Amino acid sequence: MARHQGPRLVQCYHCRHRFEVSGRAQSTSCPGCNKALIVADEHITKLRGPLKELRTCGRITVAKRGRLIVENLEAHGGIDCQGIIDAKRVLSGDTVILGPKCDYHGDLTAPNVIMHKGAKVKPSRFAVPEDPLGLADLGAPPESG
Amino acid sequence: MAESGDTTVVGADSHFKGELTFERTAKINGKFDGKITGKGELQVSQNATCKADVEAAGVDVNGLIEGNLNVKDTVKLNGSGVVRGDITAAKMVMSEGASFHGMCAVGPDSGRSSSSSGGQPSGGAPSGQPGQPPKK
Repeated sequence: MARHQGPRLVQCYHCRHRFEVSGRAQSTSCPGCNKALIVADEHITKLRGPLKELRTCGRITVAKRGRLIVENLEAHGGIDCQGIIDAKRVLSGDTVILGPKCDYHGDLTAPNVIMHKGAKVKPSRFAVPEDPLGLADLGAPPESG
Repeated sequence: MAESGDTTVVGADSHFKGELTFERTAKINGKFDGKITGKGELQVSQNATCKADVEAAGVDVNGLIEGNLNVKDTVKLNGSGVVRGDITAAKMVMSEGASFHGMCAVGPDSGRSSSSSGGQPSGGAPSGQPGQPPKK
C-alpha cells in the first residue's frame, strides 16, 4: 500500500477536530475527543460487508472486482470506485470517482464527482458540491499531535 | 428562436417561455422556462439558464438546468454545468467541477426504476435523512 510521505492533516470523523498525523499512521486517537480513528487508506478487492459503517480519514478504493456493502460510508480522502458500492449514505471529503464499470448505490455528499461513461447508478440522491466535513467553517489553523 | 443548419438555437439575449419540441439538436444560449422535448441532443451553453423538465436523447450541460432530466442516451455534465433536479439516463458523464443536486439513476434499466425513491440499499438498512451532511 502506498504510504503518505510527510505528516498530513486529518479531521476526526467523530468531533470534526483537525490535527496532523504522521504520514505512516494507520490509526490514531483524536486529541479532541480521544476516540479511535482510522486514518489509513482502504483498498477493497473482494466482498466486504455488509457493514454498519466504514469510516476513515483516508481514501477508499474499490477495485474492479471489489464489492463494498455498507450502511454509512465516510472517506475524507475521497473514493475511487471501479467495482460495486452499495450503501445508504456516503460522505466524501474529496473527489469521488465512479469508474466506467462501477455499480453505485447510495446517497452521496461530496465536493466533487467524476463519473465515467458506463457507470451505473441506482437511484441515489447526489449533493455535489457539498462540504460534508464542514471544512469551510473551520478557519482555525490545525494543531499538531 | 433561430435555426442554424439543423440546430434550433435560443439566443443569448433571448428569454423563452413555453414548450419546445425539436427533432435533431437544440441549443439554449439564453434563458428558457417551460418544458423541452426532443428526439436529439439538447445543448445548454455556459451562461444559459434552463428552468425546464427535459426529455431528450442526449443532453450536454455547460450552464444551469433547474428541472428533471429524462434522457434516453447520454447526459454530459461538464465542469461548468449545474443541474438542480433529478437525472434519469442510460449513460452519464460527470466532469470535475460539475454541480448536481438531485436524484440520480443511471444505467440501461434506469428508466424503469426511476420512479422509485432512493436511499434504500439492498441490505435493507433503515431509512433516514438521505444525503445529510454531519452536524458541525
